[in-house]
Amino acid sequence: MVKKKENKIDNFEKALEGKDQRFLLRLYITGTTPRSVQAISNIKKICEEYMDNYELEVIDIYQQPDMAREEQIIAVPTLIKKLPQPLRKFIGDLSDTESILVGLNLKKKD
Amino acid sequence: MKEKAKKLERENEALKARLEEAEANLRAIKGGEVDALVVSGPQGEQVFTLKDANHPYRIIIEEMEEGAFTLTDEGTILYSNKQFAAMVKTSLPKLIGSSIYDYLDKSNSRVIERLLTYEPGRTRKGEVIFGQHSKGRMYAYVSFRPLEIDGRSMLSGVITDITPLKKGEEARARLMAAIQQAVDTVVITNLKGEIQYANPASERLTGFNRDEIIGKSLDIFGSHKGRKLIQSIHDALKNGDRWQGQVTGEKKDGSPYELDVRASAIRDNDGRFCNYIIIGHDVTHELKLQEQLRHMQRLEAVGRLAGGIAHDLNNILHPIIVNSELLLGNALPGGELHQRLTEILKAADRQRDLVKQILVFSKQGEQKQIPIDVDSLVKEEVKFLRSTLPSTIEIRKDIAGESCTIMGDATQIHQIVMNLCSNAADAIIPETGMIEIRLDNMDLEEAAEYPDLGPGRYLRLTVSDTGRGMKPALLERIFDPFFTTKEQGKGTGMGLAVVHGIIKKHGGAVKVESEPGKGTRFDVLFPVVEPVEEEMVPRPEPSVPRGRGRVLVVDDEEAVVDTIEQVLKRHGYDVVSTTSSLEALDLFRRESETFDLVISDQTMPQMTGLQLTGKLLNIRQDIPIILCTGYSDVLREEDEIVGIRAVLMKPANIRELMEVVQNTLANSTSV
Repeated sequence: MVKKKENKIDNFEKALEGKDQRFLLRLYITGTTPRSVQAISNIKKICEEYMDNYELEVIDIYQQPDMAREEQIIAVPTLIKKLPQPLRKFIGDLSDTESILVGLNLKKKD
Repeated sequence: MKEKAKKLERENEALKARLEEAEANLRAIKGGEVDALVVSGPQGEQVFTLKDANHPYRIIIEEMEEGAFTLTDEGTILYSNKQFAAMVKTSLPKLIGSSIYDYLDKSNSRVIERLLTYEPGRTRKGEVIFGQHSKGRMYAYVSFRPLEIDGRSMLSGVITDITPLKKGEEARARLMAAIQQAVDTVVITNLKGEIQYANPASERLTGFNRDEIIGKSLDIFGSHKGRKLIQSIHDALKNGDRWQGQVTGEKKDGSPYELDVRASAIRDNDGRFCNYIIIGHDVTHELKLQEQLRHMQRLEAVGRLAGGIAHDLNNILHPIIVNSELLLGNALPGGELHQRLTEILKAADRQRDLVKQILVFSKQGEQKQIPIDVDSLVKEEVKFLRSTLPSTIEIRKDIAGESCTIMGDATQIHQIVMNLCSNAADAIIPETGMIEIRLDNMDLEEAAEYPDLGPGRYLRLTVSDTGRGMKPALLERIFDPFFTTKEQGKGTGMGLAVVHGIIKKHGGAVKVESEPGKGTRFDVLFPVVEPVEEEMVPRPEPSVPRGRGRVLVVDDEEAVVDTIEQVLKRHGYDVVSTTSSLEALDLFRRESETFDLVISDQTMPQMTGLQLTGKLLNIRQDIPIILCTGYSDVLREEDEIVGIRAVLMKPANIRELMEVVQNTLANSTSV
C-alpha cells in the first residue's frame, strides 16, 4: 500500500481547480514477474504525478490467491480503481499511460 | 412497463460492462501484456504462470549461494540448482534422478530419515554431513519443506555449507579444551575486573567453584590488592604493554599461594579493549623449595662459622683442662683447692660437650657408628624421665617395632630422645598432660613425606605431647640454630638444631606436626639394620701409663704446646716443643734419629700438620706422628695418610693424650 503524497502548494492550487479527489487503487500482481514489476513502476509514477490523495494496495496473488476470486481477476497484472466511482479495471502492465489517465478520469479524451 | 424497460436497460449495461471486461482481458492476453492467468477450480484459485514469466525466480534459484533441490519423499532428486551439484561434486545430469542418500555420510542416516519425513505444512531443519568418500566431508545445514505440485507430494530443500563454520567450531572447541585442561590458571575479566570466566585449574588452585567466582571481582582470591592489580594491569595495557608480575593469593581455606601472573588485553573487532585475560602459574612449591635452599645455605654458613668458633674454643679449652688436671694431681683431696679445681674441670668438661654439639651440628664432630638397640635406649630414657618429671605429666611408651636396631652413635641417639622428651615436657609444664614415646617400623615405598629418604625399612621414633603446640610460623624455625622460645639463660637454642644434625648424620629424617592448643608430634626415621649380638661393654678405666721416649711437640698455640709438654714430662717423656712448624722441620732435620714420636697440630700458619708430616716422612719414613685437630673432616677415611699413626681430638684430657701416645709408640715398636 502506497501512502498519499502531500504537497501544500500543489494542494492549494488543485483545491482551487477542484482536483482534490481521493483515489483508492488496488493492483494485482504475480510476484516479480516482468509485467508485474512494470505495472508497479507505471502506476506509482502515475500516482505521483497526477494524484494528490491516493491509496495504492498491491496484492501478490502467489501469496493471496483467494483475493483474485473476490474481485474476479482473470489475468495478472490487473489494476482496479475502487474510488472514485465507478469501479474500473485495467489489465496489463499499464504502460499505455494516456489510456490509463483517461480511464482514471485524470485526463480528457482527445 | 417502464420499470421492466429500465430493468432490462440496467441488465444490458451490466452485460455490456462484462463483455468489455472480457474483451479487455482477451486483448491483454493476446497482446502478451499479462504474466499469469487465474483459473477457478474445485480446489480454489490456481495461478498459471505464462512462459518466461517465472524467469526471475529461476535466476534467483540458480544464482543463490545455497544449494537448492527438490526431492520426492523417498529422497529421489527431481531438481537441483548448480550450487548443490557443486557441493556434492556431481554433474547435474548424474544428480537428477539419483537418491540423496548416495551423497550423505552413513553416520547420519537417522537424521536424514527424520528430516525427510513428509508432514504437510511443517518445515524440518537440521545439520547433516555429506560425505564423498575421497572427496572430503561437507557439513551442511538443511531445511526441508513439503510441497504439493500438480497433485504430487514433494520436498524442497535448501542447503547451506557450514563446513568452514564447523572447522571454526572445532578449532574453538579445541582451544576451549586446551584452556579447560590447562595446568595454569586462566581468568577472563571485563574491563572493570569482574570475572567472566575461570578455568578448572583456577578452581582447583583457589578452592572456589565457578559459581562462587563468576561475576565477582579479583578480590575474591583474597588478594587485597585485587583492584590495584586490575588498575595496574589496565594502566600497562592501555599503553599497549603486557603486564607481568608475582601475586600472593589466598585460597578459600585461607592458605596462601604464589602466582606468576601474565596479563594482556583482548580486543574486539574494532580494536577496542573488551576483556582482560590473566594467566597464572602456581609457583608456591618452587618458592618454597627456593626458600628451603636458602635456609640450607644459611644453615651451612652458620655451620661453618660455628665450626670455626668451635675450633678456637677447643684450643682454649685444652690448656684449661690439662692444667687443671695437672694442678689437681698436686692438690689435697677434700681441700678447698681440690674442690675449686674440680669445679673448673667440670665447667671445662661441660664446655667441651657444648663445643662437641656445635661441631656435630656443623658436621665436623667425630662420630663412631655401631649397632644400637633403640628399644633399650628408649626404655632407659623413659625410666629417667619418670624420675625427673612431675606426676602431672603421664608418660606412655609403646614399643611396637620388630626391628629396632640402627647404626649410630649411642650418645647422640640418647641426645635425640632426651631433647625431644625435654621439649615435650616444657610444652606441658605447668599444666597436666601426656608424653607418648613410640617405636615402630615403617616401610617406605614412595617417600612423599620424607623426600630425602630412599625406599626401605625404617625405625620410626615418635615423641608426641599434649602440650601447648606451635603456630606454623614457629614450626618453620624450630630447627634453626640459636633459635629458642625460652627466656634468656634458659636455653641455648642449639637443642633441636643439634638433633636435626644428628638425625641427618644417621641417614634419617624428621617430620613435625603441631597445632596450637593440641600438642606436637615428632616423627624421626632411621634406617634399620640386622641386630648383632655383641653389646657395648663399658671398659673399666685403666690408670694413666707412664712411658719413655723423646717427643717433638709442635702447635702454634703456646698454651697448648706448654700443657702437652708438661703432661708428657710428668709421665716420663723427654720433650722438645716449638710453636713454629718451620722450626720443627728444621729441628727434625738436624736430629731426626733422636726422636721417637712427633705430636703436631693440624691448623698452623706457614705449614699445616699434614704438610709437615709429609716433609718429616721424607726425612725419616718410620717416624710415628700423631696429629691433633679440632676438625675431624680434615681427615676423611678415604684420605688415609701414611705415617699419621693416630689422630687426637682436641681438647683432650690427660688420659686421652697419654693413651694415644702409649698406643702409638707401642704399635710402632711392634712394627
